[in-house]
Amino acid sequence: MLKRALVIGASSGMGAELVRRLAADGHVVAAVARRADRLQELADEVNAGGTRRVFPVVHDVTDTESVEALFERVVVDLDGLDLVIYCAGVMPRIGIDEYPTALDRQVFEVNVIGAMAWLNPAAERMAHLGGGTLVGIGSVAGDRGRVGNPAYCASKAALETYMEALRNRLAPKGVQVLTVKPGPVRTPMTQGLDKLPMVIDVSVAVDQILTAIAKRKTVVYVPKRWGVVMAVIRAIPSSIFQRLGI
Amino acid sequence: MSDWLSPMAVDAPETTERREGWGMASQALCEVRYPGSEEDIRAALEHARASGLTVLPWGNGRSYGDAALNESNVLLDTSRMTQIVDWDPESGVVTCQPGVTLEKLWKHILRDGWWPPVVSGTMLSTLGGLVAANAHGKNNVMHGPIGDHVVGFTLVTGAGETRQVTAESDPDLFHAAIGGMGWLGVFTSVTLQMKRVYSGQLEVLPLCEPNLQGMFDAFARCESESWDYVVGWIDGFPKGAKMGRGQIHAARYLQEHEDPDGRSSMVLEKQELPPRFFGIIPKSLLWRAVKPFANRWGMRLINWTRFTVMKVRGDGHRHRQEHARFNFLLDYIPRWKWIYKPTGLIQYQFFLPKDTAQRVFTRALAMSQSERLEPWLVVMKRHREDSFWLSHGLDGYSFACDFPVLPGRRGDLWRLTQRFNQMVADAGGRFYFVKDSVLDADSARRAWDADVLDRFFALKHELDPDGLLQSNLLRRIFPDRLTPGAPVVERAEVGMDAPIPSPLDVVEVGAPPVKDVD
Repeated sequence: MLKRALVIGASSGMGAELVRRLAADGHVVAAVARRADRLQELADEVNAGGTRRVFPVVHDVTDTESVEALFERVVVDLDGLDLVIYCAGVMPRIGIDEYPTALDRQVFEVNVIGAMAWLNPAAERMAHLGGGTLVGIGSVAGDRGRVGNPAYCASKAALETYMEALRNRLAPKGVQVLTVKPGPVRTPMTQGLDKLPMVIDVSVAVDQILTAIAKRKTVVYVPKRWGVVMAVIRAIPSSIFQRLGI
Repeated sequence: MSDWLSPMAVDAPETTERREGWGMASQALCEVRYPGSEEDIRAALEHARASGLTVLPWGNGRSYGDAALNESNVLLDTSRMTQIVDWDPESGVVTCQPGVTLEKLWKHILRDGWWPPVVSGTMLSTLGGLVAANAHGKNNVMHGPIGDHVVGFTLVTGAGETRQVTAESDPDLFHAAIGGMGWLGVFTSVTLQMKRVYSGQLEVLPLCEPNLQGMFDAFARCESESWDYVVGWIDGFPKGAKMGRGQIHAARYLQEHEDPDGRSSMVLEKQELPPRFFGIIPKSLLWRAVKPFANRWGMRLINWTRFTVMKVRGDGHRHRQEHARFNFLLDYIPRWKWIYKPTGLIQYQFFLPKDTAQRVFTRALAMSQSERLEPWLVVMKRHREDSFWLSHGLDGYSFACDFPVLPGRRGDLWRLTQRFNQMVADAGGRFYFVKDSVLDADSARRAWDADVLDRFFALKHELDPDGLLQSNLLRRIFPDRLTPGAPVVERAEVGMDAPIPSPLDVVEVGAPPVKDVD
């Protein structure tokens, strides 16, 4: 009954809110993030009730070498693992006429390679255990290659394809693999952006993610209406899409 | 089968296996070893000590929650220690290895006119597990927990010492290890006094009661009439005047000469649970028929039907029933727990002093009803105090509530049970480790006297100085009582002591982007 969760990218935005909600729902949560101060603040806030619910794990997801040992440590310290949510993601500001290869590499290291590094051992364990849930936070941005941030769009598309492949591997073994595709959410990542379409609060997004986990969904747009919007956008032929400049 | 013939003994001293609490809501991957002797147990303890691991004995997996789980650490599966070492049909004293199940035991002794004095609701639990949990049966108030019938035991402590223990030779260890949940050592044998019976049957009296007050009154009546067994079933759904309605089964052992066919009723064939329902439907398929009703309204209907049928057919009708059929209700419908798939169930059994029991249980039931999280099955029992240190026994009543872990309601169920924990602790109540999935450290600390816990853990530190014997449950409810130096002590600061990798130079989570959205 006491469930064990691991949230990677937990110091702010959806990750932090997920940690709060999971802890309130009776999970014990290993919260992984790079920024020790914010992580400690979050842990102190949630653990203030007296019972330790959140275990902070300071880690940079680009340091993939250390993941295996850290993962084992988390499993031992939580006495198991039932749910893994990979929320770490970056979206650097780049100009429309910039082509920054080094930055693009870093986007992939955080958004894709880091996800693989954490989800692979989790997938292996859950396949053995015959149960559990893996969640990756993709984006509506992964549905089309857009002019604003090619590497970000591509990284989310890569993550979603990777998640789909994991799902096809693990579903027969009873493991839920959920891809969440949020539209704009009021998080530090979107801070300063104007005219965000259909933007929602982080608490609303987290509600919907937790519901999707409980209902054992496989792919979910957050909020749902993005599913309709993106179905239309995906259907636009490339020759027309490129003229739209979005 | 001799141990050396077991395939496990050949070349697989350990395997990594998935183990599950019986309620299917807790799982763990464990390094499982299959000891066949004290030497094997000592070797496993040495291995754990050298590897920085912890160890826990495993019987037959009938603990509902995480009492028998030890994630990423060693489990000692006692399924190769299943010999009845000694049986004296004259005195009724039996010595068994820890992996002997109740089923094996009763089938061995009944033909000689004996029955285990305390049994669980399933015959598939092991004696090692029952003694470690100080389990009770439906006869707790009259006959006490199983610990009251233990003559002695052999224990390999965490330090690897073998101790032969009786209540006289080492009263502290005797009263701590029974009910000690395997945290002090691993039983390698237990010696128990069986109960003489003169018939293979019990006399059973079913009573239907219209509400909770009726249930309490009927329990008091049965107690004054000295029935050996008294167990109540409560329909958790009705509110108002019908709240707490249910049925009581009282039963008593037949005395000598009460059953002229006593000897012949002890043959195993007459005790076996029938394999078919109404003589037609295989019971192994019955859970599939019930599965469509595995929801609030379906269970409301099943509870109502059960109450109504029993009221019409059974109220006050004295009859005789075989020991096995009366006691092992959980084995009556094979795989019944599968109706709770895929998310499983928790059983929340709480013990309340008799003066607060009715008030607190009424409130708990009302809370679960207002949350629309009614227990699908509630079993009520009467208990008495006993002398075992970590015992759940008190002079009062217990209520064992089967709650489904419904998809989407897990958090609500969690919060509800956390409130129950506080209420039970406030009322001076106790909890039952072997059933537990939700007890929190604060409520556990309040439910037992601090000086009893001090004595127990001081003894643990003495017998198990490296803190090798642990379980998920122990780490969950007594995190501050673990032996200094044990691996789990470090869990408070996962990764915080690791060097912090250099931050990304340019990219930072949360940096205000110029364009694009997530």
